Order: sequence, then C-alpha cells, then structure tokens
Amino acid sequence: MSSYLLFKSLRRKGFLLFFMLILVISFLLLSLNNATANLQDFAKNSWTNYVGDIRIAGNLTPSFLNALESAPYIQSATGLSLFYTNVESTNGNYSALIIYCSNPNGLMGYEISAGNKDGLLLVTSSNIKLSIGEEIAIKSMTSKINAKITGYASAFYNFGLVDIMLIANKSLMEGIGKSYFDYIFAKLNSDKDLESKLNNLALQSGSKISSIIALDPNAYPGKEDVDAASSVFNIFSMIILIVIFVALASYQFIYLEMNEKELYYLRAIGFSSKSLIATYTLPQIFVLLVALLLGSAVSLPFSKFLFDAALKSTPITFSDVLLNRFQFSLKSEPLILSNVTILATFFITLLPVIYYVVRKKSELYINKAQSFRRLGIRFKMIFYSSSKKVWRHALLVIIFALIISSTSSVSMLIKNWDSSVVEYNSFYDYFIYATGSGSIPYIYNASVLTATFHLAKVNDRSVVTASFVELGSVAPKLIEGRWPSNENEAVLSVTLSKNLGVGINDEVLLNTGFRNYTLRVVGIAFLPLFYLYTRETDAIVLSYELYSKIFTATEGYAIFLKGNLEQALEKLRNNGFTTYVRTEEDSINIALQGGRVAIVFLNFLSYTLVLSAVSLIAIFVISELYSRNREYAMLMLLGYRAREILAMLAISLMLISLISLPISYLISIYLLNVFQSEILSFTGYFEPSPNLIELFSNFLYIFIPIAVVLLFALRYLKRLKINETLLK
Amino acid sequence: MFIFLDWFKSLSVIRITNLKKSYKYGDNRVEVLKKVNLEIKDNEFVTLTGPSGSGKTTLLSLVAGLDLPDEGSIIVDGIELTELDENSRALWRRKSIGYVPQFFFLIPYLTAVENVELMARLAKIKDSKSKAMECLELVGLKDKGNKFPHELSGGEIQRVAIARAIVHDPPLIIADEPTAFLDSENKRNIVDILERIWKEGKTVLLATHDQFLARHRIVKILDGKIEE
Repeated sequence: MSSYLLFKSLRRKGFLLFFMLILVISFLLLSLNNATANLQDFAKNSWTNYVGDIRIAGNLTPSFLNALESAPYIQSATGLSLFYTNVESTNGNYSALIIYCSNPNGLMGYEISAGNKDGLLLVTSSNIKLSIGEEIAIKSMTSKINAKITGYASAFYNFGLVDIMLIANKSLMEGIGKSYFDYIFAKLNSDKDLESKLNNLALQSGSKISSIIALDPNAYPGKEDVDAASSVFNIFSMIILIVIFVALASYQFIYLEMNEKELYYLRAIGFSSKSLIATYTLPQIFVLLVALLLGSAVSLPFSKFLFDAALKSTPITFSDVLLNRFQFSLKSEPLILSNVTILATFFITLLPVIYYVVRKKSELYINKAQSFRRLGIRFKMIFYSSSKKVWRHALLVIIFALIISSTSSVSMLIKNWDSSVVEYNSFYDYFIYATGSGSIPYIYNASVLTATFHLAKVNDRSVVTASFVELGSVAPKLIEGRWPSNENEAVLSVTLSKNLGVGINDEVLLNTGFRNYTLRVVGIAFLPLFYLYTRETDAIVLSYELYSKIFTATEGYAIFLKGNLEQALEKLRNNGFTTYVRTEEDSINIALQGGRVAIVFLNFLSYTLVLSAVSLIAIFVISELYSRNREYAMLMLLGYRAREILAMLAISLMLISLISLPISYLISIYLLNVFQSEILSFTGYFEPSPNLIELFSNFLYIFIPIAVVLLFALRYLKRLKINETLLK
Repeated sequence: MFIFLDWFKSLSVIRITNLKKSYKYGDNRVEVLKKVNLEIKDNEFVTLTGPSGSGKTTLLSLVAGLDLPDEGSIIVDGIELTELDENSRALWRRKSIGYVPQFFFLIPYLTAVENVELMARLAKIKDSKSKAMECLELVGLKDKGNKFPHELSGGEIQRVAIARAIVHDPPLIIADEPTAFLDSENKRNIVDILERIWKEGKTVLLATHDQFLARHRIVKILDGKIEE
C-alpha cells in the first residue's frame, strides 16, 4: 500500500522547498570544506615540493653542489647565490636582492612570464616595478656594473625585505663577483648520518657549511594566512551546521503540519505506523539524495572561486610557480564529510517527527493551540500573531539569537584584533630592515633583532625564532619575567605560551631538525615578529649566543627605532647596509591588510547569516501565514484591516527579537572565544571582549529579514480572498 | 408620489439590484449569481434556502462586503458597498454587521469570552468584557466563558460565534448555514437564538439548506436566481 504511494507522494506540498534547502546547504558546505582541503593541500604540498627537505647554508662551492647532485642519498639539489645591494634606475635608487638559481626547473626554481634571461629577470612580486628594456646600475662587490631588465619571472623567494628582487644568469652573477652559493636546497633519499656526510663532502670541495636545517613540511611562508582562510571556512561550516540543524528541524515540523491531515486519513483507512513512516520519510530521503547529488556536482566551481579568493586575499603572493604546479580537485574527504553531516543532521531532526507519528496515533489531527488563560486578550493577539505555538516562538528566539550573536561576535572580534595590532606595534616609530654583511652599528634608541621563520620547532610547534643583537629601551612589551641572559633561557610570545600551555620557569624543547635544546622560559612578551614583523604569533626569543650557534647565516636585521631616522639610516649605509624602512603606521596597516582574508570572509559570513535568517524567518512566518489563512480571513471578516494584522505581526517579531538580545549577548561571549581560538595562529593572541555597541548595531541587521517578511505578509494579506479562504 | 417612494426605500435595510457574480474554475467561468434582485426591510427575518452550489454563500458574502460583484448594486443601510474600497468595507463591517460563519471559526488561542470580547474591542464598545459575558449569557453559555474552543462542542462553538456577531449591537445579522454541521436539536437551538435576536429588533438574514429550519420570509435561490 505504501509503495503505491511512494512516488505519488512526491506531489505533496513542501518538497520543492526541501529540495532547494538541501541543495543550498550541500552546495555551501561542500564548497567550503573542499576549498579548505585544497587550500591546506596547496600550502603544504606545493611548499614541500618547492623547497625540498633540507636547507644548507654557508659558503658553498659549485663543486659541492655537483657532488651533492650525484650523491646517492640526495634526490635533487639547487644552489642559490644571494647578493644584497643598491641599484640605480632612471626612476630612483632601490634596495635590491640579486639571486642566481642553479636550476630554474628544480627546487626553488622560477618561471619566466615575459621576456628572456639574457639579462636580469624582475621577480613579479617585487614592491617596485621596472619595465623590460630598462637599464640599471648595480653596485657590485668591487665596482658599478650596468645591466638590462630583459624579462619578468615568478618565484617564491623569502629572503628578507627589499624593494626589488632580480634573477641573474650565471655570467652576470660572476660579473658581480659572487661565485659561491649561500644556500643549497635538497630533497633527500635518506637522512642517515646526513650531517657528517655533508660535512665530509664540504671539506672535500672547499665549502664551509654554517647550518643544516631540516625544513618542516608543516611550516611554510603564508601558513598563517592559509590557516586563517581555513579557520574562517571552518567557522563558516560551524555556523552553517547550526543553520542546517535549525532549518531541517523547522522544515520537519512545517512538513508535518502541512501533511498532518493526510497522515490522519491514511491511518483512518488502515495504514500501520510502519507504512506511515515509510510514506512520510521515503519521499523525503529520495529528494534529499537527489539534492545532495546535485549540490555536490555544482559545488566545484564555487569551491574553486573560494580557493582563489582566499589566496588572493592573503598578504603573501603565492607565486605562479606554486599555483601552476597545483591541481585543484574535488577531494573525497570533504565530499564524504559534508554529505554524511547533512544526512546525519537530517536523520536526527527526523527522529522526533517519527516519534510523533508513531506515538500520537489518535491525536494526530487534533491540533490544539497552546495557550495561557490568564494573559490579556491584546497580549495574546500580538503574541500569537507570529506563531500559534510556543515552541515556534522559542525557535525564533534561538534563530534571532544565533544570527545576532554570530554577526556581532565576528565584528567584535575584528574590532578587538584591530586594536591589538595597534597595541603590539606601539613600541617603535620606525621599522628598518637592514641587509648586509658588515657588523651592525650602534644606533641610539633602537633594538636590533634577527630572526628565522619556521626553521625550528618548540615542543613540536613550528615557530619564529628570534634574538636581539642589541636590546635597547625600544623593545616589545614584556608582560612577565625578563629577557634571556644565557644559552639555556628563552622568552615566549603570548600566543606560543597560550598554545603550548607553558609559563615562566617551565622547560621547552627547541628542535631544528637535527638538534634539540632544552630551554627554561624566563619571560612572556607580546612579540609581533611574524614574517612582516607586525603580528603577535608563535615566537621564541633566544639569547644571541644560542641563536648564532644554531642559525649562523643571517638574512638581515630588523631594527625597531624611536627617534631620528635619517641618522640611523646614515650609520647603516656607512657600514654597507641596504635598508628598507616602514613607519609604525605602515606596519599596522600591513598587518591589518593581512587581516583582509579574515575580514573579507567574516563579513561574507555575516551577509550569509543575514540571508539565512531571511530564509529561516521567512519559512517560519510564511508557513504560519499559509497555515492560518482562515484565521486571518476570519479576523478580516470581523472587520480587521490587513495593516492591523500586520502591525500585530510586526510587534510580535520585534518582541521576539528583543527577548533574543540578552541571549545573543551570552552566546556572543562564548562564540567570541571559540572564533578567537580558531584564528589564533593567524592573528596571534589578544583578549576578545564583548562590546554592547557592536551587539546593538548587529541587532539592527535582524530588521532586514523582519522587513522582508512583513512586506511579503502585507502583500499576502491584501490579496487574501476572505470568502474563498473561509470556505476552503 | 416620489416622497412616498423615498420613504418606502428607506424602509429597506438591504437593496440588491441586478447583481451578477462569476468565478473562474480552471479554464471555465461559472456564473454563480445571475441578475439577482432582492430587498430586505428593517427588522425582517429572511431565510435564504436552496441546494448546495445555488449561490447562497456568494450572495451573503457580497452583502457582508467580503467580495465585490461583477455587476449590479448592493445598498446596505443606505451605503453602496460597491463604491467602498477594501479598508472602508472592513471598517463598515466591524460596525454594521454581525456574521455567523458556516464553519466553527473561533480564534483557537482565545477563550470563549475573549473571542466575543475581541469583536467588542474592535468595534470600540465600552466595558467590552461585561458586554461579552452578557452576550454569552444570552446564548446560554454563561458558565463556559473561560473555555477554549477545543474544549467546547460544535453547538457551543456556534453559539459563541452568534454571541460574537451580536456583541457590538449591529443592525444586521448574517448567518451563513450556521447549522450545517450540527445535530437536529442543536440546529433548532441556533435558529431559536437567531429568532430571539430578531425579536429584539435586528434584521436577520439566514442561509440554510434545511427546509425545516426555514422561518418567516423564505427566499429560494436556485442556479443563481431568486425564486420567491
């Protein structure tokens, strides 16, 4: 009997709504999850394939590279020569890094995007743009040499901050006077006794190794940004999950109400509970599966769009070298996860309905209104105008509260983070990045710092490792303890301390791939030492003795200065340093710009939530309007005007939104902490605090869906045919 | 002669002239009322009878201003309803008529007395609660005022609907088959109550397809035409 009804029952009301609901949910969830999976895959594997397993630093001869390339324990190797200098062009003088890469198609390679490599190739991610054919003068080791820009190339080189990066060919580099490699990047076949093998090889080939670092595949430039995008997508998914649950639960009740009469009739003609459940659920499951299939199929282009948008929003320009080597795809893990999540939510929301169908056999058609005898007639008319059932009011309060709290906690978070970036960067006026091989001069009222990014781990967590060459009064804020004074001590950033759950006097293990150092924590500080020196992140400050023992080759010095900039720059230039300058304000702006990825997506999230709210509230109120049309027609028969019924509805919705406000405040305090911990690795630690102004301004968002629903309701009531409706 | 005619017209509470109404069902248009003419005088009890689909409900809904005719004129208590817009008809309805519907239309979350009081408040009657209780007493439901609709029987609900129709003291009571879903005893009770109201000076227009309930002036309607 029930199989006869199975396909015919697809004619039931409400399936189109259900189909659209599942389609949108599946599309959104899978797009987000797949974009996240691809982002993580891209960041991790593209980086690992690009840099290899180890970085050898020192004065490394071409014969050492040749010997390495033929060594059985090495799969491939590329040598890089770096030369920091100043260049003169017709437009001005710039700090520059000239790079020679021994194998453009191998590790740390590059791709020519225009022109040829007869002369110099300008790396496209440089801050200054020079045109092809432009002649520049390079200050070489001994004299000035002239060279032409003959093309553009994309490469992913992070060797300190300079205005322009140029790729030179072998003869040009030799002309500059540089014939050895500073770095060799290698992919290993085996790492057994690697250090001694490499040292022996270096000895034989006249090279001097200063450090060998194992490159962590889980730590890469832009990791924080990719993590941020993934975290934002995860927050999205969390909120979408809440919306899915509320939407499906609401739908189930609405669907039950719409088809209650049919179930009653079917029971009356002899359907068993089992058959009733089958006719009730199987068409839904069929529609669900079709919608999931379609939703999954159409999610791929949007997922790619999210992936591209996330990468474009990061402050790091991921080079075409990496992008061209990456294949975006629909991954099985997010596909299974998204669909299983939706299916599980569907079945969970279905359970109370099945219970209702089975248990309330005889009462199925007796639709008793819940009501309070003692409340005033006016209050009742207003209270019940948005819904006759108290559970619906409660659900509306929850929907409103979730929407208000999500949007307001997102904007509170952004506000808090903005002010924290300002706070972390308030200890200096100028930030100078100086590159050069000379000894750093004494600069009055400044601290000089040297750092490496993600070349070491603390308790298995990849970190920025830094050390003060010169520690003056201009120093990051120590919130507890003191700076390290010997090789066994370290200071942790607040973020690292929070992430590891480690405090003063605790011991941590610093690991550089081949060596371990046990250090005692003597201080906790706000350390905005991330790649661009602006954000608080996972960072450790070592004594200079220990730092220079681990990382001999330095890529440059970060100087935090208060006071006379020109004087400081002159001293640096006199000592042969190339400089790159940023004001405190620039640093803050760069950090905030870096937060675009979070802000763009979190704002997008807010709009999505407002749209979800429109849909959910519309589903609620409109289904109520449809199911109670006879009651409204009756009121109009008595002499109520459409606008009077609408006013009651409006007041009812306003009251519900007001009730949800204090609940929103409580939820937003909770969400603020959840969101903060999600994006901790990106933004660094800061104290999120609830903000009533943000709460109220986001509360106003809720009037958008209310206005939309009321406009629809007015149109509906005005078109309501009293006579026809009453006689239906 | 003209003065006499004007005086005569003023005696008519309802004056229906050449009334036409049709509805569209699928691709077909069905003419439900075909040039109906009818006059009902002040304090008259008119029973409109006819089989299902004859046009009784359509005629009553037009007289109550719930819908507009395709053609013709409806003057109720001196007001031409076809010239009023939706809002004006709603305002007119809350003052001038009491409507007892065919089905048991009470607001489910209001008690019996609140359902009646709602109408009194809408018509801005002072002391609406005691007036509502008075009307419930009149229909014999004094003790059931605090019951919700689902706690009342069909006959009781219909009596609440009558109390609601008279609470604002309208000159005209329209009852559209109020006995359709009741047993014989309840049917008689309802019509008795309506008769009592009529005796208190109201004009009553009752539609029914039960011949045994027809009283006083009986107007038959068949296929959209009046046969008196």
